[in-house]
Amino acid sequence: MAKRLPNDATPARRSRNPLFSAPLAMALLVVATVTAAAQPASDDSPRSERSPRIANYVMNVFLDPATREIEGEQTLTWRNATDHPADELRFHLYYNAWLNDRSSFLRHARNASLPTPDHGDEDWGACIVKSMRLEPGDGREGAEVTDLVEPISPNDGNPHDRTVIRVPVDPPVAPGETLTIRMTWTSKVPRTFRRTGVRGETYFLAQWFPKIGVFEADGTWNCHQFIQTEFFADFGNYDVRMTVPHAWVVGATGERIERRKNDDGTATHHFIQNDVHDFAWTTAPDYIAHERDFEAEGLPPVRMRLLLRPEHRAKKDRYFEATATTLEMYGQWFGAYPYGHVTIVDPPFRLGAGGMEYPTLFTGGTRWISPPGTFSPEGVTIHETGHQWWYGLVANNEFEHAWLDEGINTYCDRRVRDVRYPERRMTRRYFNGVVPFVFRELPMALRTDGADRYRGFESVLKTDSMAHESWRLAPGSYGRLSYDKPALMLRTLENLLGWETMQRILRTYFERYRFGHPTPDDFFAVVEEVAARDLDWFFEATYYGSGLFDFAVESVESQRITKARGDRIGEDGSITPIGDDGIPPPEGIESGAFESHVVVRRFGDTPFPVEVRVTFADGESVTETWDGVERWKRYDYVRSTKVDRVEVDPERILVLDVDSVNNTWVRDSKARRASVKWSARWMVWLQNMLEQLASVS
Amino acid sequence: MKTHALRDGFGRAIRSKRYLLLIFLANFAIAAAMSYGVARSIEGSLGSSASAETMVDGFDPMWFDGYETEAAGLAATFDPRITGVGAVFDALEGFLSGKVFTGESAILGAALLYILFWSFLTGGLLWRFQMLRGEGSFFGNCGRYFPGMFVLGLIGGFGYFATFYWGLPELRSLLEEPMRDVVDERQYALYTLAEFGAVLVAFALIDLIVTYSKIITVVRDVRLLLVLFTPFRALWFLVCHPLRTLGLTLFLAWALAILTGAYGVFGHFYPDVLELVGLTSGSYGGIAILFGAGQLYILGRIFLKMFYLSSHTTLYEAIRVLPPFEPEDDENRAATAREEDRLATAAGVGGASGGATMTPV
Repeated sequence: MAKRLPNDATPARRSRNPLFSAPLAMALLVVATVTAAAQPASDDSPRSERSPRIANYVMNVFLDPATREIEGEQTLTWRNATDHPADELRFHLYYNAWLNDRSSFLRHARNASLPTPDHGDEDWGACIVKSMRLEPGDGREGAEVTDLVEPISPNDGNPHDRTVIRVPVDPPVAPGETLTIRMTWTSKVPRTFRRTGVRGETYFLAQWFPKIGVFEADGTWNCHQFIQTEFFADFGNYDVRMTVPHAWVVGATGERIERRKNDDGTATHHFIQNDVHDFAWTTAPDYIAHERDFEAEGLPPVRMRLLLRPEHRAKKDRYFEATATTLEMYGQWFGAYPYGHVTIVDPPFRLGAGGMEYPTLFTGGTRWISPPGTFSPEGVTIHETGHQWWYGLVANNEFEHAWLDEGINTYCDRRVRDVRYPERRMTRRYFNGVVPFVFRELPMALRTDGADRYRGFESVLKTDSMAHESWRLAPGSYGRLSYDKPALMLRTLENLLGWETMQRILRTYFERYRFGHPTPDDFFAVVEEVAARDLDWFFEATYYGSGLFDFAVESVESQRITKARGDRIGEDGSITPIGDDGIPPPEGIESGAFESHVVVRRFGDTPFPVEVRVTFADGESVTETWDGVERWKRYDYVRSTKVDRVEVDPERILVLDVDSVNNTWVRDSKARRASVKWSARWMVWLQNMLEQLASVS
Repeated sequence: MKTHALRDGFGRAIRSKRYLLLIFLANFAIAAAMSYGVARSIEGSLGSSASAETMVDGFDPMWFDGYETEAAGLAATFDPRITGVGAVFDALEGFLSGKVFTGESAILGAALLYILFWSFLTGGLLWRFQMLRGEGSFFGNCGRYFPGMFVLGLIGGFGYFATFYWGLPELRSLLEEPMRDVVDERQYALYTLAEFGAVLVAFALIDLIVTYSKIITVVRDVRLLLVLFTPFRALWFLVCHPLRTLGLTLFLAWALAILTGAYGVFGHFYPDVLELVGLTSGSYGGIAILFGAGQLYILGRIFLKMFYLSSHTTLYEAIRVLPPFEPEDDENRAATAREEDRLATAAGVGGASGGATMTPV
């Protein structure tokens, strides 16, 4: 296990160099302009075919739809895999995030202006540990510890938050010792507010049981309160029996090995899954189950199980195709999916649990009317299938570094879209979102295309650095700094290094940290190792910094060289008027040439090496390399023709640039024509709006 | 009688084409003046960038991402998804959900101006659409009836206001509980349809009441103070003749739907049309084709509104001469036809306008 930081520590800056090493950066930029030669995939052998199996659960749970409660018994076998004794245990009780509106989760939601629940009295959730007993073994006597359980708030000290509990262990669990903990508990399933809960008769149950935290290599517990991020747990085996009304369909992490009908009108579904770090399940009376096999050359087969809503029958093939495409591409690029099965849950409309990832199971999401151009359910399906790699298998601490799974996966899923679904069109939904319309004339930008949408003085990109721990990122910045900026950072890196190198980086990272908990430093180390370059400057600028990137063409002037006026100093020192002879033009330049000045500017806070391409009216072009350190740079030319076009970063390497429009300048601007075209359309829209409003006259 | 109203109303609307043009020009002028600012904003944002080249024959989503973030005022209402049927959906959804009334203030101001203009012309148009009308000029009658039309417009406006700020929230709170646990989107779509449908029906009824109030005001030459009572007379008329009045309205709504559908289909296949004729969307020809189609659509909408006024005026006049509550048997229909023939051929007969000299239309 990688060495981890204490819970509340801000990651130290890796600043080995000043802001960045300009010569290295320049060299890299030059290299990046050349297509990287394809290289064989990493020859690192897989780290392990199985996980360390530190936290292993055997659970028996009963869901009562009448009370919306789950009664659970669980036996947790936990191993202290560190070199330090553990004198207490810590558990997550996630469902207490919805115990009341004083929880840290809902307090944060209010601060971030996120939606808060409109819960009635029956809609709140809870997770209550009813009993806890430490079993005898390894020279340890058994002990009833229920009365010793106490809630703690290690992150924000909120006395109303009940999402983490601790229980002292005496004697402490010695390094290498395995402890068995028996618990009984009740979870009251909340009305779905975010990601888990119930609506109608559809249950989606995630973070639903008391779950042990991670005991770090430094002898501290990593067990954060549930504030805005949620995933971090040790790998282990799960053996779970779920009892539900007998006609209800169940989907869960793992494979079902038995379904037993009980005399009381219920059925017990027995699922088992080894080497995962979480367990989620869903049940409803009206899911329609479909199965299909995924097969691709060089990859192990996967049985795909789709739990589909009746109204989404027409989306069956699209779900399967998007899942299979991702299994194939991620498998070939980064490494095979090892589990042999995956469950795709098509959540009902407005369940609030769509687009979530769990080991061997994920939720998609689509709408009743959703023609192919809307890219639904494909978009979310690709992303969540991708999480089986970046979260499921490479299990970074999402509480602290959510970008490692969300950012990397957003970057990777974009590549699947580019390869398999290159046609993207803008869509808009009308009438409460029921009626979609795809505008075939309008290409759609993905959030990984460029940072232009974050333009503006109060850009969210400036509010925090990606290096900040995710659970305490500034309100409202989590999404941008965990998904978008990291994906843009990785795209920039790809543009610098080439896809082949990037693929080897991710493959090496996957193979090395499969079933592990890598940190950002681990990732950066792999990048530098595979790229065989010092990239500190890059990560300083993009990861540790919170400045914006914005390069622009500031001004372009081209003037014909006219006859000089004034005086000249003769060889004898006399001053005489220049007269009609003038001053001869520079060598190689005919009379009547143009003198051009190009000024490029860095408006953003953060330097970055960029190319500047200057094209002249005769078609010739010059490519300059600018280190981007100074605020501006001027290039002077004397040519027979005027400057026709200037492009800063013409290959669009720095997709983190928040304003790609000001990166270019063209002499013959088409802005007038474009404005006529688009304002004419706007005018018809306004005419129609006026006529519509006039219907009240 | 409904067919008669349609046929006759259509003829009268067609014969008022100069006023159709006048209204269209007003609509065009207001929109053109405002779109100038948007054009300047787009042009300024694109500047000398290469994005302008992309925006001429296509669309640059990266430019729009930035523009959307920075645009303010009228320019902030620009969205590329306003082409073709997008414009229609946008306006209809905004109208039925009440969003347009909380929109950009410049647009609301322009709309108010346009509504006043329509109100001013309505008196003259209804005067013109009568089967028997008093003497006077079109604009003279516009001015004469404007106070009444204005008052009725305010009453209608209050009706819409009440629908949005009282009726719609009430309806939503009624639907909230049954919809709370709905997880099947088909069911949700039905509720949505019910919500928008209810608003649409409320609007249609308010509009019918206000329209017939206006018709009564002009046809019966009602004095300003008494205009306040015309909505009751209009409501009574609608209650007595629901099939004819609603049937006529539904027919015209259907005509509007067809017109809108045609415009939507054109907008959807516009790129193919351009390809067929060898133009690009950024060429002036390409711009003109789409703009021209838009103008035809707007012209069509205005004509349909005039048609709506003329046909209902015809219907009112036709029914008004029959005894109320009598079944529409053959004998009555014949009597109606005879009466209409008589009225149509009669000149100088004193009537509803209080003894004014009437001239046949």
